[in-house]
Amino acid sequence: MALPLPDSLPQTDRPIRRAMRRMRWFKQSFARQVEAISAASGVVYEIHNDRLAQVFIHWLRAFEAQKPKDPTARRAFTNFASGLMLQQLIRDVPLEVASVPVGSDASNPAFYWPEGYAYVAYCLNVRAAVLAQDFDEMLTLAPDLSDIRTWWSFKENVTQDPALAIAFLDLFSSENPNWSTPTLFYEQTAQLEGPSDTEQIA
Amino acid sequence: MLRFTMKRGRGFLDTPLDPIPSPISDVARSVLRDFDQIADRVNDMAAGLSRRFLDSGGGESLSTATLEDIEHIGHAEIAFAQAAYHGLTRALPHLGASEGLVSEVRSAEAYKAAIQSGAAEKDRFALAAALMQEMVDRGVIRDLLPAAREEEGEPLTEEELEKLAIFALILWFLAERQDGPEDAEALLLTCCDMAEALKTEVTECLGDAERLRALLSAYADKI
Repeated sequence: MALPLPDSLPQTDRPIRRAMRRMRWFKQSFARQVEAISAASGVVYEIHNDRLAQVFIHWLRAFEAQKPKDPTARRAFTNFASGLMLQQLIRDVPLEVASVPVGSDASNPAFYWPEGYAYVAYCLNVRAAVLAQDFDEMLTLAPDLSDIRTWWSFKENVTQDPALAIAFLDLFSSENPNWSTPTLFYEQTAQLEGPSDTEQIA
Repeated sequence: MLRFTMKRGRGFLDTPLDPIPSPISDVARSVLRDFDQIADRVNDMAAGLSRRFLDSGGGESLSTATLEDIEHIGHAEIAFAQAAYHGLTRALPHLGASEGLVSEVRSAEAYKAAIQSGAAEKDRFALAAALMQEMVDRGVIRDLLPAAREEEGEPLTEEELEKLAIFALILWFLAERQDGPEDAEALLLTCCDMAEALKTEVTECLGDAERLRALLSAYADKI
């Protein structure tokens, strides 16, 4: 199943990178994303708004704490910030699956881990929208994204350590993942030395 | 008539307690205290100063005015009290209160006191912090009954409900508005969610005007 496209994000009169830092847009855009996935997959989700509010507050603090001063680091920080969001969604679990269609294919990531799938789709779509709007770039999705074996590893690893979600989101969007210190943002990409493949993943 | 009866009843009970042995005297004092509180509430309600809300209520339209708008209209304390009443009677059920009392007169007094404190001369966040402290100190919200909530987790205590509803209301008064009343209502509920997510900070900062000002300033434009 292809990920729902960024046009499921609600309209806003401000740049998405700014709209994202407002709870009203965050709630609305997350709900729209879940609705779009639900319509495409038949999975019925329940959103816990209290946990979603926690996600936002925790994410905002992490975002503000590492926001770079150097404007040339903005593109890399866009990727990092969307990874932080995925980490927080996995930690605070704002989604619950109410039902999955009978006979759904468990080798499809959308049915194997419906909550994780919705979180990944949301973070990739927001990342793609900001990259397109601010940097005139198209997000390149990696083939790993539709590989169920990567999803087995993804779910197992982030369940034990949600911080690894930051590296996995980079992997899914064809960026160079930082597996050793994923929660630290490096303003200079040269600071990031290390393996870029999936060999370190269990 | 009810108010008169309560006053007369209180007068009858208001006899010296000293001759009564101590434990009984304590009980009697407690009864008198309770009786005074009930009489106060009946007084407020009969005079139209406090209103009971139910979580099925909320029929009256919600003001879309911000704190800044209210500052620039005549009889600002009355406009504030009305807007606060409508806001709180929507915020409280969302946070998990099934019923309670919201006093418009105490809200108006809180507004006047916050203005007279001179906090507004610093900035709008200082005024907002002073307002919140005055509203809590004056007991604008009373007699809350917690309800079963859709969201799981620990239900909020009566004290937490009161503080978080007022914090949400103040954030809402500060937040930028975009559309009409429907947007204003959705925004208020978002403020409630944010207030609950900031429960620890709100509780810690309430007694310190400067910290409360900083908290409101940090999150008002994040709504």
